[in-house]
Amino acid sequence: MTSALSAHPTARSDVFTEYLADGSVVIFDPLTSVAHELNATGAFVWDCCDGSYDFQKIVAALEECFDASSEISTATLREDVTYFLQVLLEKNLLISSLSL
Amino acid sequence: MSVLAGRRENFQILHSSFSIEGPVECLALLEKLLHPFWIVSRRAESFEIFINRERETYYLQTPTLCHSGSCTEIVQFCEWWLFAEAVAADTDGCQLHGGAVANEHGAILLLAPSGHGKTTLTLALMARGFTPFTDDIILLDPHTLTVQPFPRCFHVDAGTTQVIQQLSFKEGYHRPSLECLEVENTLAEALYRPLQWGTPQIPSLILFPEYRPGATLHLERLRPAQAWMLLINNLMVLPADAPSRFGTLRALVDRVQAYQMVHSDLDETITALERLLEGTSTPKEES
Repeated sequence: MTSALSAHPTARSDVFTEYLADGSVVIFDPLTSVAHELNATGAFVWDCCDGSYDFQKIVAALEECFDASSEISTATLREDVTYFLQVLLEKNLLISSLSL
Repeated sequence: MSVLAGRRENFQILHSSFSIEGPVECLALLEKLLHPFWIVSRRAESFEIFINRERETYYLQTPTLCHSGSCTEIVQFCEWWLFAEAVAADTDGCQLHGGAVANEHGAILLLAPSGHGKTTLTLALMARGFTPFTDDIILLDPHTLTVQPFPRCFHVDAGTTQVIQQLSFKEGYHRPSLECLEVENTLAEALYRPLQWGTPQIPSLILFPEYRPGATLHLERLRPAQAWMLLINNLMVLPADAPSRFGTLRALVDRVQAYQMVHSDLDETITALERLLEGTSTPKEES
C-alpha cells in the first residue's frame, strides 16, 4: 500500500477509450479484444490514469466530487480506488508498475 | 493418397468465394448444407479446398489446415470452416455472434455466448410466428444499421430439439417451418434451414439472454455504455478491425433499447418479449 501512494497509474496508450453522455466510458483492449464498461466514477478514475496523478491525488480528486453528499468516507474511497486500480492492473490496462 | 474426385462445387459466402473439389458423397452433402450459397463460377476463387479419400477416411485440405474424419465429420467441419473464413475475410461488414428474429412489430437481436440458450429461444420465438434472420451470425449493415438475413443452417443439439418438440404441443404454438438436413443421425448436431427469412430492417430491441433453469424472468434495461460494451464483445472480427465497427455499434445502442434477460419459462419469456416489442414499435415507425 505504501508504494501505491507514490505510484502514478498510467493507462496503456493503445487502449481505445470512448466517453458517453451519461459520464460512463467504454474501454477496449486491442490485445485481448475485450471491451469493459466503467460507470461515471470508474470513468473519472480512468481519466486520472494519465501519469500525472498519484494514488493520493486520485482519492483527493474523488473526495472533491463526493464532498457535496458526504456519504462516502475517505477510507471507503481509498479502498474503492485501490480495488479499482488493482482490477485495471490485473486486466493489464495500466502500464505503471503499481504494487497496491 | 488418392483423389477420388468426382465433383467440384463453388460457393459464395459474404464476399468470399470457395471452390471445393472432392468425392461425390461429400460434395452432395455440402451442396445441400450450403445450397443458398451455391454459385456457378468461372472466375478465380478466393479459396481452393480439396477433400481426398483413402479407404474410409476423408481428408480436408484448406489453405490453412488439414483435417481428417468420416464423410459427415469432414462436411460438418468444412461448413464451419467456410463460414469462419468468410466472416474473417469480410473487412467491411459488421458481424456479431448471435441470432435475430422479427415479427410485425420489429426485429430482435439475441446476443449471448454459446450455451446460453440462444438457439432454443430463437426456435421458440419462431414457433410463436417470428421470422428468423440468423441463428449464429448477425449481419449488420454498417451504413443503414439494418440486420440482414443470413441463410446458414441452424445447428440444433438434441436437448434443444427436445425442448422445441415440447413447445409445439402448447396452445398458440406451431412447429417452426424448418427443412431438416440431419443425415442418418451421424452429425453431432441436427442441421436445419428455415424455409422463410426476415427482410432487412433496423432492430427494435437488443437482447442479451441467459437461460437458467428454474429462474424467474428478469429483464433489466441496459445503459448505452453497457449495451455497447456487450455488443463489442460479441463482434466477430479480428482485434485490429474491431475499432472500425465501434461507430456502427454506438449508433445502434443510441437508437435501440437493450436489455439483459435471465429466463427459464419460454412461454412467459416470449409473451414478455412480444409486449416489449410492441412498446418499441412506435420509434421504428417514425424512423
